[in-house]
Amino acid sequence: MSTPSENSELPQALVDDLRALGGARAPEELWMRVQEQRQISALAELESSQVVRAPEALWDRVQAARAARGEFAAPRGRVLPWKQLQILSAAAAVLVLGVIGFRYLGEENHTMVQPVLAGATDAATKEALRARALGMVVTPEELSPSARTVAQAFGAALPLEKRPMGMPEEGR
Amino acid sequence: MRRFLLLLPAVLFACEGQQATQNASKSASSSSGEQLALSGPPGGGLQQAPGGAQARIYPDVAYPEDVEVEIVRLAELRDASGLMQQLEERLLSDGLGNTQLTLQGVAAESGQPLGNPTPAQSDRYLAQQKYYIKYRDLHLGASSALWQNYLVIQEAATVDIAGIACEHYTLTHRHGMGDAELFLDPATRLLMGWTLFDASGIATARMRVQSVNWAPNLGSASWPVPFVSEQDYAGATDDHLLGLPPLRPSYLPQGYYLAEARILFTEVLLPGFGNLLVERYSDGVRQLFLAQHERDLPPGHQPLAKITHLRLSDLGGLRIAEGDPTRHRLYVVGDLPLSELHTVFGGMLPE
Repeated sequence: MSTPSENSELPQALVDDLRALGGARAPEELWMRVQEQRQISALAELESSQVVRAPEALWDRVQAARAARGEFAAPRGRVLPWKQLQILSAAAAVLVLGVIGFRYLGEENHTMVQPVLAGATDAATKEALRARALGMVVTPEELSPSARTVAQAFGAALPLEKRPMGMPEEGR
Repeated sequence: MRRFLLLLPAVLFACEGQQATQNASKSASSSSGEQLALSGPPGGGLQQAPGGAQARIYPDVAYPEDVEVEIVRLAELRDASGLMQQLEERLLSDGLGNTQLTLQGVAAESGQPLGNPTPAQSDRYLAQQKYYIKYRDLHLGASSALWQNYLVIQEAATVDIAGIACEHYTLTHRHGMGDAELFLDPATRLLMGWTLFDASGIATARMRVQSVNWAPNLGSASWPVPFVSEQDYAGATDDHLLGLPPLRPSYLPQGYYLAEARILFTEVLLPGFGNLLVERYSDGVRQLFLAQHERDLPPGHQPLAKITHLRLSDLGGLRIAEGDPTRHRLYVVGDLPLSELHTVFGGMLPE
């Protein structure tokens, strides 16, 4: 994971929120995506540094003049510079991925939440699934030894073995 | 094939360990004096207490294997004939992951005096104790699944168990698939008891603590070491450990999610048997197990059967579907109706 100094370009509120998560570890995929986003930002910065940029005030004046001519409506509110938008987009991505990641890191590790299928499966579909295997109801004794062992490990009642002849059940 | 079938029951879940001493006799009835009725009210296991309702409760539970404690408890499991088998157990835990579960007394049905277990029953406990604690005992699953499937209510009245006035939680299944209840020591949060009911309100499994010792003597304890090692199943990258890709479910009963997937390395002890993949699904309270391994087939043998046969059996509280699709041996185990297990099984087969 990155050190706090590496995240210095993030808004303070986001940094505080991330710190408030404590020692929880984000998914590796999240860190890869953040790295990817930082590389994109670095490339954009590199490209922008290689061209001569007009003063910001000039662009504002051009926009105002175009609005006055009715070419388009003047934007209302503050227009954020491209770099700031990138930072906010990255921050939003971090938050969204973080929420998703920590949801899956939730109460049980190795948990993959499965969709509820029964409600979406009609009786005919279930019948078709059952038709793939020919079922026969048998007594527990007719199951394989391995099946009985597996079932007992998962909570089935113990088989009550008969005692040898001449060994009556002793009360306790 | 014959060799591994003979060996499997003894070795599959075998553990080393010290067999517990048989303690003095106790009666089958709970020392708390709590009524151990076999069945709940018709049409549903639990009645909701007026005024006791609270939304979205996730009970704070301390499971005995997670704390240092020694408890004696009475487990009751419904068997295939419908009788409630009684098993008096002693559970010793150091709170650090070491547990020892021993069988002290057995009765074929409720109300009978407990007798000493047979050697075979004691051996079975010795071999499977870890799995009884992990899989048979009740553990709450993810809160989202619990709340999706159950209405959880803390009843206003407490219930006395082993001399402790316990909090009483009722978990009513939202789709009538069977309710549950649990009892917690309010001071320590220790799980003091639980009951599972089937859809008709009949109790299928029940556990009640009879005595608690918070200062157990661990010095003489001999913790069992599993013969069979295991690890988490990480997906396709672990399929080589199973010998072939596992069958995947395309249908699951309503509300169940995959809580855990583990590989048990049975191949080491039973060559030809293959390692066992155990997937545990939970609805927040109940569990459904899909277990599979590679069949012990002669080299070059290809199964010819176009139709897969499966055996379905009702073991009382639990039911099982077992069959041999392709090169797999597959088990589906849970307390769902046999038709549901059949559907899950069929959903794992290729079309």
